[in-house]
Amino acid sequence: MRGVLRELKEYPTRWRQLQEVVKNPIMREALERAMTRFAQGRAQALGSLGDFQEWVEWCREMKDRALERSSELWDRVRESVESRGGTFYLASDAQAAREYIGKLAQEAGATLMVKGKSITSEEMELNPYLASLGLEVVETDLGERIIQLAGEKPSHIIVPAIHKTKEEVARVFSRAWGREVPDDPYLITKEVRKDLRQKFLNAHVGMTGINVVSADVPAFFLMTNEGNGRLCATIPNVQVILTGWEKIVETVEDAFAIFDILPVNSVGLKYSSYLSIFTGPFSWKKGRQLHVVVLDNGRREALKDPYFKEALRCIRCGACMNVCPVYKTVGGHTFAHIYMGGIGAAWTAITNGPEEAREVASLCTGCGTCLEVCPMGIPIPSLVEHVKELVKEKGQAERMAVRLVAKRKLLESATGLASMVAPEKITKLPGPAGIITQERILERPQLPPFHPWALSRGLEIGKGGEVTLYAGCMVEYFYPNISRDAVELLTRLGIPLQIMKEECCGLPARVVGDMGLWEELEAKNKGYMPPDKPLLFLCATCMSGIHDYGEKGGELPPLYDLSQYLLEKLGREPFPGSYQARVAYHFPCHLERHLGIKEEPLELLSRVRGVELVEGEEAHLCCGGAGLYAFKYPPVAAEILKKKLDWLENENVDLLVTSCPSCIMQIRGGVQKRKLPVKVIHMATFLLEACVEIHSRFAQS
Amino acid sequence: MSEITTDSSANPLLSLFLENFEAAGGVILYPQKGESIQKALTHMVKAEGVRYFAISSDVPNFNMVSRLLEGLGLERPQRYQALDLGITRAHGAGASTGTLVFVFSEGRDHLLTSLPRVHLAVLRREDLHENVSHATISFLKDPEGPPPYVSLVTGPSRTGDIELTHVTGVHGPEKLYLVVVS
Repeated sequence: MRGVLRELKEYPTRWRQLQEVVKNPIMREALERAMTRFAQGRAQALGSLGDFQEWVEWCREMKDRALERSSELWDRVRESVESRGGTFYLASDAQAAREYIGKLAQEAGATLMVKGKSITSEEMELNPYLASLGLEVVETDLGERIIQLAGEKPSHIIVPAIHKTKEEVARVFSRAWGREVPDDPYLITKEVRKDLRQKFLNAHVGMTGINVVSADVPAFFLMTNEGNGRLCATIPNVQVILTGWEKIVETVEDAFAIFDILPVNSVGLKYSSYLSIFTGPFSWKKGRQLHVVVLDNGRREALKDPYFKEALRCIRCGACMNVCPVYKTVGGHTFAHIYMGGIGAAWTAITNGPEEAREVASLCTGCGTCLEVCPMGIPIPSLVEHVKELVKEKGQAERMAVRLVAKRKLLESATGLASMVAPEKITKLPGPAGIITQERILERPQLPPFHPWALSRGLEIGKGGEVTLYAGCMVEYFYPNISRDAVELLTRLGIPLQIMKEECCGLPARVVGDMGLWEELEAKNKGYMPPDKPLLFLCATCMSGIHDYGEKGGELPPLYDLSQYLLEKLGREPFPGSYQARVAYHFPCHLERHLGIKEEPLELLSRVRGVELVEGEEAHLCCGGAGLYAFKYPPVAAEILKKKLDWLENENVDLLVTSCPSCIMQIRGGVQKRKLPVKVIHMATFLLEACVEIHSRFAQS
Repeated sequence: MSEITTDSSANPLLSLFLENFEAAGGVILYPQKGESIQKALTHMVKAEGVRYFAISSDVPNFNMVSRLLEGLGLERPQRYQALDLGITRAHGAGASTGTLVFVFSEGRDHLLTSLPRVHLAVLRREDLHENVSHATISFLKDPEGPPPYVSLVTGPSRTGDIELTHVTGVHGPEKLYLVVVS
């Protein structure tokens, strides 16, 4: 309990920090521009690769195969490097690797080291260590050099200095060189070329990271666009290759396949300017040495972990960040430890332990947008949940909140009380909690809860219907009108309905890492489900949670979203109702990305006469609600929502329809705060109104 | 150097390669309609303001090119740093990405590809493959053992690190020229 209180006390500070971050216009604009360009470039370039999903399958198998055999493959690489006159060192942890490289440099009598971009070196905090030995370390990638001279951290994996304007960059170099540098990217680049050229030529040691290592022909593959990597690797007398254990693949063909997908998926580039392949010491002048340092630092342990093992496939293309709503909102300084984004949470856990990763994991909304672009098929949201599961001493407040919410009696009393004492619309919460209502309105829960009402209407538990309705906690206690509308709708359509005894689906428990509670709720719900009838959902999150019960095996009844079920019933017929309005649909993350239901809601809406469907990529963006997330990190949630609200406003949408009560709470709250003339309603409500054609009343109000 | 046709429809692989090479930011010096290699080279070194050049002895028709450039008043520099133009042979190429393959075992040819502002690559048409992987793997799987360093080049050196503004010639060549011979 003390932990919970301590965490609650910390929230307002965290909120203020996040508020500052999301209100930083330069960073936001820079990120937005970069992410949009990369995502568009990716979409255009992806066509040349054929079916993306086939690639994902192929890449996943290829990389899993290699990781499975990684010890044997590395043995082969070691043997080859050594037989060709190089040295090979497997460093068990960051310290061992740092010390080894430091010693190499000292033995070579080096005072200057040039370095290509290497996140592995950042992971082991190499630069400060080498500096402490009196070695000058010069980053040679332009973005990394800017960051190094500015004394900052990268904010993006591909464009590390994306958060800096050209004026700021010019100031950084002016200060470093003690003369005025013009704020022109072309001129700055040429000046940097001149400056670093001397460093390349004078350095004793050149170090680079590596993208891929092949084992059949033992070879190290290094990709850059600027050409700094190959200069680091070929000009100084001592070449150091630093690579993580996970970079291994079986064959050179596999390595080439990775370079077919990497630049395309990363920034929409067909092929990078330079791909340099090294197989041994390149002795173009006397005395050249090659040293290979392979870093373990938790990787081999991760191979044994069923979750983190999946993260080892990562090829660091950064596509997951380019589409991540949280990353786009707060950037890589906030949403990172050393590794950025959701995948960064998993990687930080692997290399620095889950405690260090917990804060980053906590920022993820679990929307799953990353799942659609990861070429290696890494289930990032599950890995984030796993991080939270491992760290029991943090996230106590959110676990406590979920434990309370999962107690139905308690939730019933609390929402019942709130519905009696709270105003209809809560526009301002008192104290620090006021941040929650800063950009959204909260509605008071409605009465009565669904189950008592349904029983009073003669619906029976596990009997009498062709389909079982699962309402879910939010519908039951906050928006019971949605379930009442669903009952009315199905009754009108002649579909007999039954209900079931329910517990919380457990998904909120799982996303805060409370696997004990998740399993407990799973077992209960499984026991309550009538096995012989389809299960119908009004909440995409519940459906996704219950869908995942199937992962452990055992039969579940067929699961249906309302739109799926009704479309199946309608066959090819139009929906028997009409609605004259500009209607948009919001795809709940769980519906679209976790369950893969992408077509049915729009198809159903288009079957309603009079509907003018407004489509756009904004329909698919996460709303930022994510259950408790909007209460945990209100500034981030509100910023994520903005794009959707802008879209609704610009497109003059009359009605936004969706299939998740949590999304409704978030979007409606934002719509009302902004005073937009948009009704945000559940699919069930919309269809019922279309059925009874009472929508004209809406138009008047 | 024997002339090769500029009619790309006669060789779909070559035309695909040239298209992708240009798309990546490379400049095709030859074959170009109505211009001899000599003329194209002359135009290029003037336009680029080349003073110091170096050429690899590996380049097909090494003597002809050397004499031509010397005749134009170009000099060999004392130090590699002063190089404006490096001329080397590309040992292979991949059409689908417009990529050139350079294979290095010893000697200083690699410096001609990485240090100067302008790099001119000479490719024999028979070294062109559909994919760069095919063009490269045969070198890596050489029964005599793989070369220590293989460098694949697709267009000039580039960056977008400052406000995503596209700038070429960061640490590698700002211009990449190509001559294809048969």
